Amino acid sequence: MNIRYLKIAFVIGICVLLAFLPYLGINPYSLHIYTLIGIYIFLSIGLNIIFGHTGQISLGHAGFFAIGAYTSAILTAQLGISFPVAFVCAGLISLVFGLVVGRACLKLEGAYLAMATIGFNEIVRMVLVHWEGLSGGPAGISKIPNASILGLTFSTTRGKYYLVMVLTILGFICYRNLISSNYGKQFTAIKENALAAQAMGVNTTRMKIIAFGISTLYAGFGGSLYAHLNNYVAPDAFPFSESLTLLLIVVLGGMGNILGPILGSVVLIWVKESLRMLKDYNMLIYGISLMTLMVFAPKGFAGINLSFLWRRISGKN
Amino acid sequence: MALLLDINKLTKRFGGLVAVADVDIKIQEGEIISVIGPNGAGKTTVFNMVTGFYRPDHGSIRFDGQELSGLRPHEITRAGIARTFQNIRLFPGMTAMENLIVARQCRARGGLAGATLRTSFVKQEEMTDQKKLLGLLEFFNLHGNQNLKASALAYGEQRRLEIARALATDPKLLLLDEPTAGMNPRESETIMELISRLRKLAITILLIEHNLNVVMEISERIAVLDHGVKIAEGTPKEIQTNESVIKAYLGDTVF
Repeated sequence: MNIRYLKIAFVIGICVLLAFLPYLGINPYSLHIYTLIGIYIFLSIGLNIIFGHTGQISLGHAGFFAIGAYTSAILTAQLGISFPVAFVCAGLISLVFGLVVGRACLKLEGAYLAMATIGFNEIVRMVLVHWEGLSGGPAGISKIPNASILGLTFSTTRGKYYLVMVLTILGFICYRNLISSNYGKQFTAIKENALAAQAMGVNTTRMKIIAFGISTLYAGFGGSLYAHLNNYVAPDAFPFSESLTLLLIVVLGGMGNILGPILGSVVLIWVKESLRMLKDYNMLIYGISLMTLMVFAPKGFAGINLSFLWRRISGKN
Repeated sequence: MALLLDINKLTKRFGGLVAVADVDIKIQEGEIISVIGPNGAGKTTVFNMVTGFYRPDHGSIRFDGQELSGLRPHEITRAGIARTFQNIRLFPGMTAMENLIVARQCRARGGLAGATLRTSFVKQEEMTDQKKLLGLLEFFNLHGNQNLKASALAYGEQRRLEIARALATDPKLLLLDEPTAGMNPRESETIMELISRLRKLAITILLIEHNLNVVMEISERIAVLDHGVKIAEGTPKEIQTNESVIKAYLGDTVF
């Protein structure tokens, strides 16, 4: 019971911290990065569902991210539709693409699935570059209106921060509920042993498509938030390397761990941004730290066993 | 007693090899039936056809009045047939309890939306299931291990957990593929005792087993396969004295 209270206190503490963060003398640029971290949490929750929990790799999630961002951009900037509707549509359209791609590709496994999803990512990017009438071509879509809900407009850095944080928290709660439910354990069963899962009555084909669908829904929502954070989208924000970044977040945070997306996004985006001042050495240090991390914490940040680490450090065994 | 499973002229070929040829097996409700035979006789192939992992080339499988051939494995499980595997196939990284929970899901009524929003219906259902599954773990003497990962259990415990997991799907018919494989005599004894207790719970059992002591002791009828063909069927006593069975097991020149 004690641990339960500690947990509740911890969660409340985090919420209070998040609520007052913009008033702690943080400069707007940092606040913008924190907002971006929220969006990456959204995106990596999606990827963790299909890859971390269900064990099906996707290297094309930047494609769904792009679909969400462009849907929201086109609906609000060009068709004048309100943000809440655009936000929901961004998720749903990404979901529709996800269901179609999932149905076609999830029969594949491992490297083949990886290749197919990379292909999807590239198709989306090429379409966005070349279908100028729809997407504005390489220049992208600018002047995306700020998000506004019921007359409340999120135009300042602070406003955007709050919008993204609240939605991220809601997204995280749904994710946590799903994964920790009995229903959600079927996803992990597929990763653990797909054949046995079938024999135990799990419709593995259907569950994989559902997992992929939910994961692209999250990517679409993340895309919409991204479009309204920057008020601008362009195809070069969604290359294959962006899919790799998401994969890194999931792996570093801890595959199949509920806290993985949060820890991974916070650390990776924060490290990436703070290394910027090192200019050319930036990628070198980034790369070396990734390798070090994978060697010493193969289960990601969420999988680091603190008590074990402490015993090693203190020399007690 | 009603006919529960009716396997009729079941045939499976792998390329030129006929793994199972025109096999008939009938199981009445509440029976324990064993399928025995030398290695490669086609026993597991029959199991894989009944559970939908292989598609028969010919013949029919009727279960509880429903034709099974053509159904997919999860549909067959939902229809009421559960199985274990010859080489253990648990969900190794999940706890013993979670292993059962996954199997139980095929009877659960709360869906995706309910799970995501954590509705009171889903909470209620999860609590009821939890209680039921704890009882199941207790039945298999595994209740101390509910929060241990399946991979951390001892071999015999993993075997028992696999049977428990199959039962969590609420089957009418339980297919056990060599449940005592790799066990010492004492562990086999435990499994046998469990199987006979299951029988009292009115669960019908189809058993593949190499350990003939086990087979003779608990089965009511035995079907013997050799090279994909059923060469004999009868009570343990009849099988023990059947000449073609002795021939299949010991070879041609008999004393």
